[in-house]
Amino acid sequence: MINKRTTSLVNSFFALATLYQCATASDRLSCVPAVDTDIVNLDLSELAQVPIFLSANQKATCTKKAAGIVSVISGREIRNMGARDLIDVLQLVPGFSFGVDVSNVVGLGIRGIQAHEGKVAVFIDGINLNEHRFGTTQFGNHFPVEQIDRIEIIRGPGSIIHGNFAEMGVINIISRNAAQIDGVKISGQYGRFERGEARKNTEWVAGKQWKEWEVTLSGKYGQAHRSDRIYQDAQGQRFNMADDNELDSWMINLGIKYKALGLRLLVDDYRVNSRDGFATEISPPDRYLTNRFTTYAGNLTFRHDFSEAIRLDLSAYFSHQNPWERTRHYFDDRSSLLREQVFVDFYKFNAKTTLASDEGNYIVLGNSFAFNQFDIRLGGLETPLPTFSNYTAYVEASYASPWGTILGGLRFDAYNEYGTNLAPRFALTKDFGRYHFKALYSHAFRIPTGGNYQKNEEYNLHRPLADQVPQVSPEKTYTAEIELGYQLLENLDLTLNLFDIHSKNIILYQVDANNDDFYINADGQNTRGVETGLRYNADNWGYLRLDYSFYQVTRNTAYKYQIIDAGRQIHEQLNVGFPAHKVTLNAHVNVSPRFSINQTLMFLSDRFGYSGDQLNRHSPSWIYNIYFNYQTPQVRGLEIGLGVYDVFNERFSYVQPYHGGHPALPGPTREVLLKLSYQY
Amino acid sequence: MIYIIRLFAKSWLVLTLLVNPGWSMDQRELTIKAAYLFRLSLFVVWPPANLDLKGSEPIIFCVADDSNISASLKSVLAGKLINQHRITVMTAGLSDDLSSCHLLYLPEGVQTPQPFLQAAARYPVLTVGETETFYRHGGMVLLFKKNNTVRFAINQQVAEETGLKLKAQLLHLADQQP
Repeated sequence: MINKRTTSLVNSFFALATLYQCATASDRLSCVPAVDTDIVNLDLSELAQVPIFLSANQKATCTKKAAGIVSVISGREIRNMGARDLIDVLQLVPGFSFGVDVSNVVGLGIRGIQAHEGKVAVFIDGINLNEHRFGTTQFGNHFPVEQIDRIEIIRGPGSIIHGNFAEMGVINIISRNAAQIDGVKISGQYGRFERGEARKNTEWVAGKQWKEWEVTLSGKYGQAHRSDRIYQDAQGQRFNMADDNELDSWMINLGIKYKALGLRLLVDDYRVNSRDGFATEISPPDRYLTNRFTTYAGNLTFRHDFSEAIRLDLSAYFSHQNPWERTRHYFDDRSSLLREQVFVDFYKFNAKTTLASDEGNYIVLGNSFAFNQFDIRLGGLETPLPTFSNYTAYVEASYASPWGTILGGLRFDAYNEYGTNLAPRFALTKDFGRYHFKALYSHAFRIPTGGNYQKNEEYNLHRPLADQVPQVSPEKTYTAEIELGYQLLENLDLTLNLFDIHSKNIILYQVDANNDDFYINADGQNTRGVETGLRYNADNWGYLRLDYSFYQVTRNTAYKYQIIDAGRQIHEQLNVGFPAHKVTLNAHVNVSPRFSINQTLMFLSDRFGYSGDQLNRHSPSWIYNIYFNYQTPQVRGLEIGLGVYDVFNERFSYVQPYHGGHPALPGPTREVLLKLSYQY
Repeated sequence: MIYIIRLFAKSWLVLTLLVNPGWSMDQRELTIKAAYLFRLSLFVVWPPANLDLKGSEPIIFCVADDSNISASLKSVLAGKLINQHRITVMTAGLSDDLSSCHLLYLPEGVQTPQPFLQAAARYPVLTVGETETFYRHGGMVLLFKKNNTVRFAINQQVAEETGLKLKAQLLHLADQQP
């Protein structure tokens, strides 16, 4: 009898999966309600809808039970610290480190590994902000922060759910919904360095709910400068970054929801001016370069509950991007010169079915089809690139046993250019009340992008066969993680994470003696380390967050990541650009119901970087920020914020996390910022 | 394909047989129940002698015989107010004076709720429990699981016999006992 019923159940699972064969597992991390503390704020009718056990894609924010190493940063924490942009927020995440790529573009590294180029996925409300040409995401006065409800961060592999670009981590920014906003909020900030303007930004957030309709609209327009210091290239040439090297951005984010149907539209335009150049030398003094990154994206979602146990999610995603559009500008009357322009269109169709039992066991089945189309308007390659497509099938099952929740997932991808890939993951999580435990093992991957393909095609043009380079193949990563958590006191939590990452076939950027660039696969690199977090919440007076992270290299065959001086590797356990130790402290104090003080302190141990072929050691840094926030009693909804950032004027620099010859890029120095916001 | 389906079916069966329905309440489930205790209390009117609407005395949530759940509730409900009344959570045993409780919560682990119900019956104490025995023996609010969510049912008559008044909205939102 049981066998018959079980077989029938399984058959219905497969029937459902076959029925909706046009697409796959949703890629959004979402936990509704996001964090447990939000549940208490729901009314009785909403409470009746809150699932006791969460499905795979709902679990990420429920950090104790999530099948991943997860950090959740709430919008309130972000605004309390007076975050100027996402760098201020993400610098507090254990294992995260920022470094310069090229031409004033700054990206992210995770756990000692350069992740900027296609290894960390960034989403805003389900829209992927990685450019699909090389996979990068650019930081520095780029993303708005006022609309954020929370940021869910996976500090580890996320490929199995989130696909390409999520090999080392996932950053999922979730905006406040219409009910949370219920009105309009506008804010403006103006900041100055000692020697020039730091930033001037305006942001706006609006949201309204009418019966079954929900509409949100948020946006940002900002201008900033990376630093006010002097940049010196490998040849000793210098220029003043004060009121130079601009970072200009604007973004519009529109969300419309009607019953189970949702539409998200996002426009992002980010321009990075630079004179620091691509590698060892600054641009000639008569010119500067603009790299522009634009994204127009839309995501249409539909959800249908066949019953309370069976759910279907469908989505259709489209983005049109123009990343790394390179224009040369002259300081004199000469007109600007467009140097490189490549458009990338990305389409993705998903379908996912979730079957859950009353006990919290579930199985998710899904599939998707996606493809990238490249249009090289101006670049080195005259022949068109192929269309890059992939089909994905996905299954994940979770079973809540007395010994813990056991999760198993498997993702199969078939690429038209890169063959097939099979990636499993396993997790055992257990919440004992005061204690929690996680053991995780996951495969992850990074599939070469059209940009990688284009570079190698360009390199091979007009070269004899013997000098040509092959196209790169997919990079793979195997990660094992353990998390232990203990609630020391009622409001005091301690977590400890251990990780061990093994990457092989890593995709590596190369430049030859003629300054021609291409990509290769290097054998691999491994890192391992530890991350700890201490959280203290006192609802009345504030909270405290103390984090520590450490990594060491256990294997590295890529010389570009090695620390080499005079031809000899002098530090085998470090990678270029990454500090071995990082400590962050964020303390928030509500002095009165209307006045708060927020302090952050960040310590980074010494880092190594190159200037040309010269190895440099960058001393440890202590960055201390303080932010005061006051809600005026006279004008309801008006808040005034005043912040001083890098109080000790440590003059942090973004070290290039690979040997590309680019000297460390000066970062923000001491900055005083005034912020006004008004909500009505 | 048939082989794969069979293999999958067998694996699922093995997993199903391993199910133990008696695992302890996890933090998320407890948070949902804590939210219910808080929200339910907003729709209950206690006699003025027990809770002055205009007063500032704390409203006391008692948890029967479980200090761990009591501590968790305290954490989840910290800072919450019910009509200007601060919530105080404490553990209560049978030997304690239950007259000081405004709400008595009997978690699923309290297998014999009758003595608690009898002890509380003399006072205007809102009793909230999770077992069928609790509800059958005169418990006022039953929290139960349905389709992976927590719902509630109300025994209005019992509640009002003790002098508590339940607002109409509460009765409207209540489910039928399973």
